[in-house]
Amino acid sequence: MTNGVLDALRRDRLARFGLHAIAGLVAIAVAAPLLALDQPLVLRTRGGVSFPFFPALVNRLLFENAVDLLFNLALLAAPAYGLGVAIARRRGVSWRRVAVGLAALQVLLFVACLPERFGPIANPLHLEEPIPDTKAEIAASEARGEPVWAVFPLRPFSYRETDPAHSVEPPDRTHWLGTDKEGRDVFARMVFGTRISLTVGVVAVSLYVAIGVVLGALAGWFGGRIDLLISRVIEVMICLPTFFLILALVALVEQRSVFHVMAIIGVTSWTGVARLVRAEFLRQRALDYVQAAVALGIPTWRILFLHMLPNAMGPVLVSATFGVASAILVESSLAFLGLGDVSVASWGATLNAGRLEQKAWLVLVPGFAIFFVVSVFNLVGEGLRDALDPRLRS
Amino acid sequence: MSAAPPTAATPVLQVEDLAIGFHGREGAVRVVDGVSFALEAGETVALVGESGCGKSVTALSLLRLLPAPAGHVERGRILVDGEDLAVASEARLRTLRGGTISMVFQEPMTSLNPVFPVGDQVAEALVVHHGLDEEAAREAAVAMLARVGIPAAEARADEYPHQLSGGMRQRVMIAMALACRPRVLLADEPTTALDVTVQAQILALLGDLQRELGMAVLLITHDLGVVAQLARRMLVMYAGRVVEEGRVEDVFARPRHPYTAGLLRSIPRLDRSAAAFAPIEGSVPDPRALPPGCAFHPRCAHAEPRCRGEAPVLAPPPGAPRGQRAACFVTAARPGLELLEPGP
Amino acid sequence: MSAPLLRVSALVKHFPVSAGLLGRMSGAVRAVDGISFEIARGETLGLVGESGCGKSTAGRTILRLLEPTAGRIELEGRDVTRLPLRALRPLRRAMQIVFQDPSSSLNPRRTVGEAVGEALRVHGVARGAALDQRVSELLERVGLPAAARHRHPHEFSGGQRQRIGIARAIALEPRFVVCDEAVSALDVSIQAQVLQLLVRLREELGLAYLFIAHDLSVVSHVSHRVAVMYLGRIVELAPARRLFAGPAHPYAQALLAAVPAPDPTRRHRPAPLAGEPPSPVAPPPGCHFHPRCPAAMARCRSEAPPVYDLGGGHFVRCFLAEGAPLAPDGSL
Repeated sequence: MTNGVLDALRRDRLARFGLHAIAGLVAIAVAAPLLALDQPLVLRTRGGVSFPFFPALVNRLLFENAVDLLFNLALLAAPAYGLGVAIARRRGVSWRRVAVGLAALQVLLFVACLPERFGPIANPLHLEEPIPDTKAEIAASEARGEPVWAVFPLRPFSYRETDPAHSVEPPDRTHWLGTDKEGRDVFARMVFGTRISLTVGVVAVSLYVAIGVVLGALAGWFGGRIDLLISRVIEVMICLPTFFLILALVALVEQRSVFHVMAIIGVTSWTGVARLVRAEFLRQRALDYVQAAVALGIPTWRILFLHMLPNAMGPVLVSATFGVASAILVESSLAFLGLGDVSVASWGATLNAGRLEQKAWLVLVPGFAIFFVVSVFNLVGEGLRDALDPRLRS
Repeated sequence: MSAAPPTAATPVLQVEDLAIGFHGREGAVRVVDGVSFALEAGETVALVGESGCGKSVTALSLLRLLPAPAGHVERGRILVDGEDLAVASEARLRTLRGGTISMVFQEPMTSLNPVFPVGDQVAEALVVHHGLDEEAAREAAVAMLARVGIPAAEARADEYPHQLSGGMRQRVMIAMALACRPRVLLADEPTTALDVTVQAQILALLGDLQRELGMAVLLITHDLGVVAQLARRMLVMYAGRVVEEGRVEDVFARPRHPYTAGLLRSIPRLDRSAAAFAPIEGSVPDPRALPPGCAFHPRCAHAEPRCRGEAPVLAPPPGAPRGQRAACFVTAARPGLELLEPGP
Repeated sequence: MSAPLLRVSALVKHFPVSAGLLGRMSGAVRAVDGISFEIARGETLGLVGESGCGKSTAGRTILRLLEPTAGRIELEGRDVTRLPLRALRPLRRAMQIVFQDPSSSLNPRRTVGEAVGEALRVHGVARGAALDQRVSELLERVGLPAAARHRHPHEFSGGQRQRIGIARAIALEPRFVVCDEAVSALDVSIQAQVLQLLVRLREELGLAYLFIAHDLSVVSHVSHRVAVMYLGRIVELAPARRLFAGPAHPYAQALLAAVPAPDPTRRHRPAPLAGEPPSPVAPPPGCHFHPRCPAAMARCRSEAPPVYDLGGGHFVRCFLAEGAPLAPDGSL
């Protein structure tokens, strides 16, 4: 993206608000354990000082979902990342390189911490220790009259911690946004739900953008039979109502995880991007700079992905931004229909629980969260579309 | 205006000290400065220059068609039969445009409305300006289409622009522009988009129609061949100013401004040896950062220290034929200088 | 005599016109309908004609940017007509192209250095500091500062962009360059500069050009020989001076007469050629030019004229030249 586009985006007040809101959502997603977790940051008992919060972040029994693991690692590594960015800035390293470096580091950390069932690397850090019930220990110590000093995160509840004694309670000073039927803290579930929404949006869209770009590029460049085949597949896919296709596919999966949801959204939603890229490649193929590259004997893959794709990415980026919003909506809808991943704190699931319990706060809070995140992505998408429109520039 | 060449006839169009500015993101830019000329009935005057010199903007400003709100006339008068268009009301302009003064554009495809038959587009001007009823307007439009050389005009009048070839579309444009028998025709690169054999047809047509209607034509072009064949007088523009004017024969035979001479030596000619071919070095300056003094001095082989400090004004060089004027210190001071000879 | 640098024999390029739901072929645009010529080392052949006559298609088909429908293209004695694209890639170093529109012929997102240097890197000619050095040399050779390397095309004027395009084309040290209306989009004074540059490079690097243009005076200035194309066929080919002094084909005559002479003392208004070129989807039978030809005879309507050899390398495809010896097959 050129600086001109970024400048135009910054001048658009709504888009700027949207960008800031997304940055805020990402910050909430990363910092979620600091906002709500049942493990104290610092604990001093007679036995000594301990920091149960930090090992808990990579505990596979407490956070069984890989999405949480990813964000927790980002939180743990955040100071190191900050330092790295500061050094890189001082040395004048380009922000692209910094971003690539940080992403690579994050992926490495993530792979190293993956549990056995995810791959060959067998949990080198032994992170599946039983979780200490710190709260119970504190209660026990206090009952014994021993001095206990603990610093908890903002709210001392995890999003999984059930409490049958406090089922469906309205918001109060302990549970800021109330509790659901299992007595889980809704505030914690909202905060952790940010992670699910953002991840579903970004991963599903990345997947379908990748599929769409490759198929669209092939169809647009080679034309002929390849184009005929891909175009017909696209037309068939467009005829199927996407949401019902997703419903049908999701229903086929036993033991649904949130990754199944991402994958299914990804493989069903690529047609728009493919059509966009195909049209753009068809147009560019006739342009002289592409012909010049062919005449110079530049290999086809280079022409496709280094010469033509960057010029086609503008409209794809716009549609991807809107796509993130719609993917979030689809995930919430699936969870609302009870077809989501029950182990994650999806906003849609909370909304459904609220509907079943007929409680206003259980409906309004997740409803607003979904509305807000979808809106901000749409604002940025619209801003981006305007910024890329040459007629509206200058 | 005292500096205008003395002529017996009163001009139909007289432009005095025209200055045009554009507001951009990077501030205001003056793209045309101090342009004055006059057009008499029946004569063709060519406005010559390269892209960005201000010739098309000048033409658009005469009809007050500058892209609003960025472009505007900063100064000067545009007199048509003594009436100043620079200060005329929009309503008055509407009756003048297409009626008294009309325009032919370079690209006939984008200048015609794609969703109306071409006959209707020609007839519309007649309905608006001459108050004809639809039937009479249609009849006149068909006659006009036939006059501009469209075969089977009756049938072609019902066709849409995309059904016509480029040459035919330009003929339709000319029919539209001339339907109301304007007194002044502004032709902005009327043949640039056309093939050379079609260009010859259109130029011949324009010449015939001009004689027939007795209108004044301002021909805006970069093609010196077209100028030589069609125009009586010419004005050469560079960086928003007129640098030379005069009768076409005089200017071609002996240009008195180094830029004019450079242009003449930049065209490869079928009838001359390659030795006479010598391009002007450098490129046209950015209107936001014009060189001080004479704007041409950085590219001029004859530039003197004075050219860098002071802007020359249009004046008749010593010994030049009547009506020829140039804005150049060098030729004013050295009457013997022959600019078309291969330079030092 | 050694083999010519380029030999084109009976080259045909048709574009299918499809219609209907299933894209069935309903006809063809006969853009190039059997043309033949040779170009020697260091020689410039001008190719003139009006829009739609197939001259640009011819240039691109010769470079295999378009796949030829029929005919033969030989580069330095080697048949490249049906060579697989992969095998063709190393041969592309020998033949290059300069385009008309300097704004669309450069990728807006790549720097000038990348545009000029990429081919050198891809073909393994140079890399690293040597590549930078070579790119700087190329830019200076076409009259641009070496520092232009780091900038993007939109920062340059049209003439400068055309120089960048030329630097890119000569980077691989080709022997043959197609100039496809290479100066047509430029202003008069800039056009003259670029023309001079092309002539200088031809002399310095021993380049051969196929100089495609619609502007006869430009073609006359650079070409050794000139071919005139009408509706997919070459109708006349002659040494430049000879063609401009005495064109034999009525179309070439009309084309020359239609150029407005930049000389107000020679105002002549020859009756312009009537009509416009017919559609290449359904060219007229016989001689393609007969509907517009002032000298058309009855046989022109039914019979395609053969090629006559007027001597001195002057060939014409017109019955008016009857009496002159017939040229061997594949002359035009």
